Amino acid sequence: MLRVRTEIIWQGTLPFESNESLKGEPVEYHHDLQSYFWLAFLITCNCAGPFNTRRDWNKEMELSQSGQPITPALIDALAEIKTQGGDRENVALDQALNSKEPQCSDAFLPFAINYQLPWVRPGVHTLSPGEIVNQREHMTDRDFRNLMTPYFARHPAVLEGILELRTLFLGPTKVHGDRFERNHPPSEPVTHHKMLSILRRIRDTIVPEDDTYPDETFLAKARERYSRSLKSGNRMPLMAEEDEEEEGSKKPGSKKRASASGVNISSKRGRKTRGAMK
Amino acid sequence: MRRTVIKSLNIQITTLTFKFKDECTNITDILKPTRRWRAFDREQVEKMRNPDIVLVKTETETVKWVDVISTVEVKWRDQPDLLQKAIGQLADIAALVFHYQPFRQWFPCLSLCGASLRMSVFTRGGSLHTVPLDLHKDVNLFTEVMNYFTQAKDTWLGYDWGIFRENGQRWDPGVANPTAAMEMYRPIGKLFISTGVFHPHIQVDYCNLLTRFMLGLYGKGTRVFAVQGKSSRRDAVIKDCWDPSETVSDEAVHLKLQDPHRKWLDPANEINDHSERDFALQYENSSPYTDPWDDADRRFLRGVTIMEKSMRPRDPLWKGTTPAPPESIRSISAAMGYSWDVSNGPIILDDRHRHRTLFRTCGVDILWFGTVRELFHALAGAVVGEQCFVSSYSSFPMFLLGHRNAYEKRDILHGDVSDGNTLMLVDRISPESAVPKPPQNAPKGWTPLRHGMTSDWGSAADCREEEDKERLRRTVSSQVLVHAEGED
Repeated sequence: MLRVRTEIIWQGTLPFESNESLKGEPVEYHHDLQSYFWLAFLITCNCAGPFNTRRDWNKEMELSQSGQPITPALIDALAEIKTQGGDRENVALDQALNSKEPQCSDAFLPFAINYQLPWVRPGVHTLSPGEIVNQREHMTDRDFRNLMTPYFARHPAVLEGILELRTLFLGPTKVHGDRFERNHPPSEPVTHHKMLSILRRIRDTIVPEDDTYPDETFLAKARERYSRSLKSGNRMPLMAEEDEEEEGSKKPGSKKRASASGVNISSKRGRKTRGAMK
Repeated sequence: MRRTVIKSLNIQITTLTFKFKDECTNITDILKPTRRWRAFDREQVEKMRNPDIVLVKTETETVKWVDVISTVEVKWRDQPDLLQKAIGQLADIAALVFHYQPFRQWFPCLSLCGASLRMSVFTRGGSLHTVPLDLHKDVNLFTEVMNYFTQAKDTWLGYDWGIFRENGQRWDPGVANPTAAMEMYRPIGKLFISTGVFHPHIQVDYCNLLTRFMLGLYGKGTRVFAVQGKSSRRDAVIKDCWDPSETVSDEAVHLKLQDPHRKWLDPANEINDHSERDFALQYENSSPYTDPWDDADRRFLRGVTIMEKSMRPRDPLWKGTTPAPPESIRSISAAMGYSWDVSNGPIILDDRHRHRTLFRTCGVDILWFGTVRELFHALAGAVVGEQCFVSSYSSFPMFLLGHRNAYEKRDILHGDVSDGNTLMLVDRISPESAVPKPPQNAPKGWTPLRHGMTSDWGSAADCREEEDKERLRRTVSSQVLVHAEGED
């Protein structure tokens, strides 16, 4: 006898899809704009520096669970070690705990990050579209701000601009009796003009001296990383889960095997199947 | 039915073998085979998988993934669970082969379960599996199949050296005076390599045992290469993929995007938003770039990648006298042994069509921004790319627009925004352009400001077509995975 089981396969670029699209509503032009907004926000959550410096969520959450206070300096250090290499067990903690730059004390002030919102992290593909919409709609302003990496959050222009964009797409926040802050959808669709004016304002109001270009050592290492990716063709999408830590030792086979067992389609792979699977 | 398919397989392979023999003018070619089947035992290829039998060149000693021409998985008995396992292992190997052999288009391989030999052909866009032939009953055919693998031309086994031959890529093979019109490209890097998704096929209409648990690679199998024109010395991008139809492709969308006549708007009312370029110029601190969108014909939309040429690779297995048809899964399948006669069995695969597109705009992923300002600058640039279409309409006098909503006014909807599709424009694809060097004596707040653009319009929808719009709509498709637990 043959046993038959049914599974649901989702299509599209899940992490960036608009709420309307995730709900299966007809796609309209402003939903593409909403996707750009989610892309902007997810970059501010997952990039901890310039030139493809990725946040080390796993280590960060591991430390948080073991009681380690999470500070901006710690997030920066973990990301740097993840991207550039190094002894992350020791260096990260050393850097975070032993202040090397006592003058900028903010970097060593612990702050509360809500790790219960997995839609902003790699691994989002295990969530159902409904869950993603739910998490997006019920995020508090504080969670929204605190999930951004310190690299972005230190600029008031970015914090304000991204929150303004959220209001633009999801409507203004309203506090209800329960602990969630619910949003009301905007009455009019977002125009390109409106969105562009906010993006440009963020760019124009960032203080250039606070947004410095990296030094030559960092640039040289970044060029090396880019060379490697050009050689291998291994491009890690922003929201794809890594199964190996070292870029050099990637084994595509193991990933394929993992995806064979379940509906685990990374953003890039999921993207490629849009419109193809009927 | 089953007999017919075997017969069909028989005829196809026999024909190919005959053809091969006709083409071998030098008798030593046959006497000295250049490939051999090797039993693999417990040896592993690059410490990853150990195929039971592997086909490599005679001189190959240590087998690496680049050397694997084909493999055979052997199981002790012909039963569904073992066959399924064998096909799963072959698919796994195919994914690795595709990863390490970017020039490989399809991967024919074999499974031997008990005395049943089946051929599987994996492509980057789908796969097929033949019905079995019985080793004991048809020794001749068995020998022919094995010989086919050792003696067939490279191109018959799925190698396409066109992309990566020493002398590069040639466009357009159909032109009358090839030497004058053809440009050659040499590869300078890989921007994206997909091996296809390992995926159980959708199969509802069961006809034979094998199609019940069809496994294979599935997807567009997109590969994107950075190349350089040999005579022009300009960098460009080549995208090679298997599209789900002949009509949905990068080429089709870009022809529309680059057609100035699609505008029904008076150019006087058009808004030309050059803010990003002007901003970067005003700061005089961005690395200078040639503006690819500044053309007199108004063909190119700011912030949208520019397609220069496109081609449909021809079917290398074509045996007719007429020019070979464009390559598709169906054409490969037909040549590799599966009969496509609908009455003969269900259509087991989506047909997919190979397309190759050349873009003159080069980009680096937006994740390679250099400062926070550059990120938002590039995002704005990518959004403008779409605005060219929309803003022109919204600037239209209201009495003409009436109450039609913006949706109806759209022409092309990208529908697939992601980090990989949002790029920053560069002149060359190199580590130096991905990570720019600041100018001498740069002020403290210096930043590169590369123009953002939106790429990968391959799945965009033409909003003048209802069908296209519907295609973008998220659909909940239920899929049936069949788990064989013995025969019924």
